[in-house]
Amino acid sequence: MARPEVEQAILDAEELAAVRQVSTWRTLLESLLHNVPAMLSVVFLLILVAVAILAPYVAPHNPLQGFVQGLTSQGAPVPPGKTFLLGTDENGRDILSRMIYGARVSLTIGIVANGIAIVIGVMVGMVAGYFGGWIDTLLMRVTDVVMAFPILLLAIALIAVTGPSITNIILVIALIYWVNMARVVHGMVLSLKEREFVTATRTLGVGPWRILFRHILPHLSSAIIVYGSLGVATTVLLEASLSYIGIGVPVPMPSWGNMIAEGQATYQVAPWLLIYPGIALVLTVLAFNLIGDWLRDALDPMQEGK
Amino acid sequence: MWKYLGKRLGWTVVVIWGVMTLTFLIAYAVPGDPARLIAGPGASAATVASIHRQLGLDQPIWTQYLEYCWRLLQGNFGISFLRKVPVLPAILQRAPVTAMVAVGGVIFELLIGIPIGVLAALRPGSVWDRVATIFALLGLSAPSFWLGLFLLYYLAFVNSWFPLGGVGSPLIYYLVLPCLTVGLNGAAWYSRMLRSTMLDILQAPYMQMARAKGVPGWLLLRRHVLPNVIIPIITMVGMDFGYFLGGVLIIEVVFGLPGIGQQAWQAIQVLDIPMIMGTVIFAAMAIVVMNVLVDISYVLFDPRVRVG
Repeated sequence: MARPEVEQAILDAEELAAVRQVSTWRTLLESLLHNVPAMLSVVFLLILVAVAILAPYVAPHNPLQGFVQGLTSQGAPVPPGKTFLLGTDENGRDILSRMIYGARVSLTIGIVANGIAIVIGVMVGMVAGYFGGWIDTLLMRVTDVVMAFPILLLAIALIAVTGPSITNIILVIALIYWVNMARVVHGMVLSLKEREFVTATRTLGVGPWRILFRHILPHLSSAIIVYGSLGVATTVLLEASLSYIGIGVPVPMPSWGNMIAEGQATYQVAPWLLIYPGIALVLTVLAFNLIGDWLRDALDPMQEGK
Repeated sequence: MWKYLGKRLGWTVVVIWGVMTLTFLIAYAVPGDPARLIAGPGASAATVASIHRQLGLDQPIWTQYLEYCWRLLQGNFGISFLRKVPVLPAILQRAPVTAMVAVGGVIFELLIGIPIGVLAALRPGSVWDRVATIFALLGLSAPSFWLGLFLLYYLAFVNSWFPLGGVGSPLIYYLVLPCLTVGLNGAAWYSRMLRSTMLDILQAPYMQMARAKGVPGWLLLRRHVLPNVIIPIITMVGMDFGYFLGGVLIIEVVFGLPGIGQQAWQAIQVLDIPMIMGTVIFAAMAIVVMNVLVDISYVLFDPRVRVG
């Protein structure tokens, strides 16, 4: 039987040893103040999240309604102006309102799909790395196979079979992206399980699951946060690509990807149809990338780079 | 060396088998009866039943699975629902355009990515380095379809330097913008990778030793930097090329190029499952084959592999 007080002592020692790895909130905040691009990204994303949550109150118009005054007398989209700040689309709908609702869709899919992928990836990576043997071989070969597919095409095939809906997009993205996290975690667990504190806990008679979740998982947290944040960037991009192709977020529900797809037909007379949703997309992805880079530097001072 | 090659080849066989199994599972999960889909809405029950038998759908799943694998190994990817033609020849017929975009894309990636990455690594922390970092981040963050449309609007519509998509003659004129779009997105990865690899090499003890001996700059570059930098570049070029060969779907859609990707996109619009799955398998195989070629190239370029 495990001796709780001895195990607690090991946990305390781990925490002490891990001080340099997992910085406190304070030092993290301080490093953020020195990193202007990351700070701007955090502010931008906080505003974006607030706008997405408060969409019904912030959006100036109904995103699905086509306005009569939203089309010129020739039936063309109206350029940016007083009533429609960022102009209208070919159906006379307000671009700004659609972008605000689109932020909801993009962020929800990006964060939820990535969250599921992280949970699956961490579980698979930990189990494969810690137990080794045939289960390791099996799980890592599965990641090999998934990685042999081009991501976009695999997502297309899966959605073509299951039908486009927000739930399906989230599940499909999660089912593809867990492999990246599994690889990272697998590699880390392989080296962590040889460390003294794991041997010590094992000698105490602590079971493998308790070792994995109480002793190994905390050491993975920095990597999970970093790759999680970079993962949201790729997930948002993949969702936009799927919506652009026409098998992502079903129309008329607005998403930045399908807005660009719809605007493609008239972009020569109405370039604002492409420019604004595109800028929103680039800025969001850029912000997640910058935050990921900052976290990597801040949480892991051993790694070289600035 | 032979042990290494044998191991990599064994891995390839496992992955090919995995690709076949995974695509079978996806195709098997299609809701509804594919026989009914082929027969059309007005078909009688007897017609549907006969197509059912023809496709072997009345067989147990294991028999279907083995037959599916056997068919694929013979190069039989099925018949397109929409165009009623065999899938693999249809894909191969579209392959030249895709291959040209793939080659052009890789060339642009290298032309843009290598100088930026090298300059950034030679002067870390300089203005050049910052510009390179920003370029890399923008390249990683801009979706390819938006970048493509952006280039189309400014370089083809506002200034009519390039055609507004499609193909014509001379073909190269129509391929510049698509290849540039692919290259701009990809160059970001190259410059990032090259910067960190070069920084590692430049700080390595053997470099300090060589510099201390007074080895001239060009010889340092040729003897010590290049052999170490070429390996990750070959790996990335190989992977990218395999990836692009499977259809640069979004680029082909944006620019209206009749390649594998555009064909897959048309198949998606009408749920032509055999064509979609065929493209997926073809693309996965392209990646697997390029991986094998990359593994073989290590034997030529990496003495550690040759000896070990």
